[in-house]
Amino acid sequence: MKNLIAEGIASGWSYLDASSLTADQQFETDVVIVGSGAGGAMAAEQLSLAGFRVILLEMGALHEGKDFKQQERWAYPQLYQDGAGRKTLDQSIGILQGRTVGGSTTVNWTTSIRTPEKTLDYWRAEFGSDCSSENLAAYFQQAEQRLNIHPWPVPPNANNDKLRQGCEALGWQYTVINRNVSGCANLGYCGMGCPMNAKQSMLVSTIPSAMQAGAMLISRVSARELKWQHEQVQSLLAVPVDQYFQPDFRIKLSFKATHYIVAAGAIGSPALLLRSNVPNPSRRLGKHTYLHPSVISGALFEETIAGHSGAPQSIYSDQFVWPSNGQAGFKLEVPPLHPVLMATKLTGLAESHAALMQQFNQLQVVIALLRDGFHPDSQGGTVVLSDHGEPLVDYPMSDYLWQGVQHAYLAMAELQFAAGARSVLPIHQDAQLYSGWRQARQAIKALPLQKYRATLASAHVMGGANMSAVPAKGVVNLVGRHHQLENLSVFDGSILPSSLGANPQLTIYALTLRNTEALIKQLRT
Amino acid sequence: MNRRQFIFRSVALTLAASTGYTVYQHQSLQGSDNAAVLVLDALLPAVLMGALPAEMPAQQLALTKTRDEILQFLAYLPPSQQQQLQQLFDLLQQDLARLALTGQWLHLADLPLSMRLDLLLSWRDSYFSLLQQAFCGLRELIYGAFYGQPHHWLALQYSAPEFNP
Repeated sequence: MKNLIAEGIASGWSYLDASSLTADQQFETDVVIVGSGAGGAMAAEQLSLAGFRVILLEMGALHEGKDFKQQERWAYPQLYQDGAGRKTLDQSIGILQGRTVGGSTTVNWTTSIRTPEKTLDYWRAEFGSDCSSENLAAYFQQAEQRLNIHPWPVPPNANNDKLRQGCEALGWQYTVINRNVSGCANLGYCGMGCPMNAKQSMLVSTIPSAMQAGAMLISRVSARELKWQHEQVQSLLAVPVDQYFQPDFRIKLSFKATHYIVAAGAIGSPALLLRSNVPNPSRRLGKHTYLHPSVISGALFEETIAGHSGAPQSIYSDQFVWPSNGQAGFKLEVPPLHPVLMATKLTGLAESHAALMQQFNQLQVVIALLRDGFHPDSQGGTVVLSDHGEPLVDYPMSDYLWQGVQHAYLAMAELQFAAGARSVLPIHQDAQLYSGWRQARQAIKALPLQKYRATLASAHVMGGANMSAVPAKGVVNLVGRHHQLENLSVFDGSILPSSLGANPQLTIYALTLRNTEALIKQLRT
Repeated sequence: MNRRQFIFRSVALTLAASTGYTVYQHQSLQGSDNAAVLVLDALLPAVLMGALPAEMPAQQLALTKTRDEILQFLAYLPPSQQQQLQQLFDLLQQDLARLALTGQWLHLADLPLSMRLDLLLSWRDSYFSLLQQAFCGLRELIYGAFYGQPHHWLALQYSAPEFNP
């Protein structure tokens, strides 16, 4: 097993850890890309292979293969935004987001799903999008081939299998998940960085390829401001980050490029554009941020579940994603079960919490990802800047979404009992372990639908710089180019005009491939 | 403020006034002016009841280690969140100090664990969102730091594999 990037650097690839700088530095290039995740790295490879000089910036550190430790206390501070402790402004929704070379693709759970047809329909109707399953198919295929995305052929682990069993018992829809892996040993530690380079994240695919083609990677650097004038970005200012990933303003890096791509994720990208005070006539910059707010249901089984072992996600159910009655839909999946993730999300205190943790290996967990957006009462959140210029996400939960939360608790409990659970615990401060579906149903209907009572989490941040055919309805055009600044693009989840109702990585890959193709054509002319 | 909190605070303030203690003096009695350390040291034994090792030296070690892990982790949070937490620790320290005064305990360590849990639950059930946030945030920090340590996995019958030892 090789550390691909480290070996490449040893053989001459261009790499800089910005935190090692002792003096200001200027760079000049064809394209500078902020963010090395699904959008930034995919674009970096295409542009580098097309012969453009590329500099790829990443706020996180470079860790790969052999560096990864299968311990949350190492992985969360090193690989995640805010040590995996990122929260919405009112602290009511936890947000898991990668912050390392490869972005969230380094730590995601490998679920790869094409953009749902109904989501594309909505974008066409509301935002003048030209995206359809047909005209995106070639880009989906390209990404699927590049990252070896295929249906997972191994039987699901017990955690996922309970989701499948529940669906079968109830006659609900379920699907075997497509994963971006090659030579996966079914370990279950995708969320802490794949220790054997099996996950086809950006770290082992497009980044090494771009660097082989001449791209420069700079890690531990925080992009602070785009300087612009007369509809053109003139330069990008950045600073290194310290050992805790806090910006260190003593050293300055400046970048001059023909074109600037912002791909710092759907919180980081709007924040950079807001700090830069870019033109914003639509008033949509930093607005309509979607989270797939997720609720959680635990269940205890007689048999061993050991949800820490095996592919973290291999089954999902779309039974409730698109309800015909206009209510908030939700997708059913399971998370990997590791001690810190579980201990922090489970309810209970003192002895009751300890007693639950002692049944760790009998615990099965289902999550319901609410499909936010798509409705007048679900218009998402807002990215605002703190006094320090750092992004904060203000995300109000509407009554419409809370109704979805209640339906999701009910569906998850029904499913878990149908799969044979001996008791079910909706993760809500006022819920208890229920030993039967009838008891659970009655109790769930009485649970207060309030923040801090229901544990809410998100692993998918979308929107905040949405694409639109006309400048009045979005921040970027349909190929990710900023509506007002000519040499600026946004290539990440920020451009999505709604949530997806599906895990976002494959959508971001495909849109980035399409948008980079258009950009290359334009840059060549 | 709910009824329980109202009673806690009213009684505490009355007692504080009648005994002449100020919150500042009380903090000084603890020998520490670090609110985070004081609050965590007071709450950890209560929150981790049932999970801590039975033997006293091991228990003390687990408490100290968990507190230190939390304090180290805080540096990874953005400055605005660190500031908010510091304010929160200051506020909670005052709450704890007042509570100790209601029983005339001069050391927070003497405050019964059941009362510390009651206080935590009063934050959870408070009408003030800041106290609700405090409950959720502290709980998450404490359990995250405790269960991140491999020697607490025995009770879970879990061990993390080492693929690249």
